[in-house]
Amino acid sequence: MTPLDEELARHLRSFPAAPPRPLGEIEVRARMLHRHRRVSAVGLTVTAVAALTVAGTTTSWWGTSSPFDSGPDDRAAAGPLDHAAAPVDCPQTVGDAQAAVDQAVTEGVRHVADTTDVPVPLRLLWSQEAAPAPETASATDYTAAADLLAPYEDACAALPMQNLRLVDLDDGTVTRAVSVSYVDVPYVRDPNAEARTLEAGSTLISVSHQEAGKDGVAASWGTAEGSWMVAGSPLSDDEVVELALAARYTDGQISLDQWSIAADADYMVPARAGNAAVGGVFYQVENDELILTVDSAKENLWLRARVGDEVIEVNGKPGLLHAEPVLVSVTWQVAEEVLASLTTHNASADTTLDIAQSVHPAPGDDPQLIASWQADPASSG
Amino acid sequence: MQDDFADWYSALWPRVLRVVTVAVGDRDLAEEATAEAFARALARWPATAEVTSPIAWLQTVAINHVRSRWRRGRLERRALERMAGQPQRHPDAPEPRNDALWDAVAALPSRTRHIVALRYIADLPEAEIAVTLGITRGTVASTLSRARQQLGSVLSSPTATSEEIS
Repeated sequence: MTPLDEELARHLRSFPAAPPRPLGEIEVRARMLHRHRRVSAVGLTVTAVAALTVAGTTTSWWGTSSPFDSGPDDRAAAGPLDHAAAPVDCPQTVGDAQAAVDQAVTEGVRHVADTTDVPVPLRLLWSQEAAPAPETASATDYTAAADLLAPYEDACAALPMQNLRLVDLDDGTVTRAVSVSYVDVPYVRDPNAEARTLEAGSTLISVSHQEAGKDGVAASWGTAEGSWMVAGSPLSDDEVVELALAARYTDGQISLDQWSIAADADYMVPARAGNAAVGGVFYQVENDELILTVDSAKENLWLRARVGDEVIEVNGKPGLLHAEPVLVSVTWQVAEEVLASLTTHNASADTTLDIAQSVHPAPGDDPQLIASWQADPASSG
Repeated sequence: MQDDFADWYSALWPRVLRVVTVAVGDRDLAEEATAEAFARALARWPATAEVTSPIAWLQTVAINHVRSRWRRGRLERRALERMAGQPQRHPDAPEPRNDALWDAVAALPSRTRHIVALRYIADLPEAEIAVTLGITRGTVASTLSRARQQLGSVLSSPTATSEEIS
């Protein structure tokens, strides 16, 4: 090592590190992983996890910030419908479900070994004239993860979940993007994640901490029957209260007919649900300046809409342009259930759009793709 | 569970967490992923104790965990912010004392950050980094060379010097 290397190492190794998580937490999680490994597959409550994903929360197994997490005492609320069908250890809570899905993703993931194995709609590349050649390219197939979950849909009681994404446009720009979610588990208020409360009749609404520098709102409420969450922006307190009074869940469907925001929305689309949240193939090509990803996980473009996005077209397909000071991204619907997203670093919106417009199907024997292909993924642990 | 795991855990946690933090550019996410990696290690214990390079194994599991979540969209926005050198701040986690260097590291491209973390924090030789990441040793060397120039200029700046670790 040179003196500079040693100095760098000294500084980097002195970055403060948070103390280890309590060993008990690690042990509980390890037991859960072990249990899920012993059973041959996992049960289905993917929808609940998908909903939390779309709602934009940072819920994880490690954190209990989700108002949808039900505690151990609630486990009797949902149970196996037919244990004779398969010896399945069905998840009983959203936390269990998320761990189950994570496990399925871990065990069901398959790296695509060869460029020719990438499904044609996903194998895209920008033109050489538009941007420098890719440095790395890879694709990951999650269809086996979905297969791991699929046989257990009938064996386990799913947590019924619905998610709706509402998008408003004004003159070609997204002016509102909101997700409303419902899960059929008892509502558990989390004071640690609560910044303030609102009242909607006799219902107490918990408004979560807002992230610094963002104007998004996340609020939740519910009863012993089920839990609601809304996340997005802009949302006034009055609009949240109106939603809490108007939202209904009947026959497995969210009804927002009585909420004025929903009535005026330009788009109201259901979020990913079920195995679609897990399955599909994910293809990624990148260099130091840009990343192109293509995902066949049955996503709808409007699920990606953020306030300020400009509605555009990319080669005749509907898309969204999202520009920030350093990052610019273009997302477009390449085909039904296939979304592409190109993000540049330190490039203008015009340049980014030009690169996106240059994206074209790449043959399996494309020399740039072959040169950058990563066929040997690291162990997934 | 096993006492030997507890010792292994407490001994390796700080270094693995630093590696993952620099590689990911997000301390909050890194802490979650590091915890997940240790849980997976415990689930396989004692076989994991026999791993030749536990830090490399743990950071690989942690990074894959992050990628899995990123892929599923939950953290896409945060990942993009990291790419732009705007790391999230965990309100309760300790802040790096050399913010200029931290910012410079966070602004590096993701693969460069990962290589820097493995070289300078995990202390892996270039050949082992190449094997771990599935890239050539030449790519590791050239990437480190570029990173050295960028980070070295930060270390030599008066501002950084004034924030030197005491």
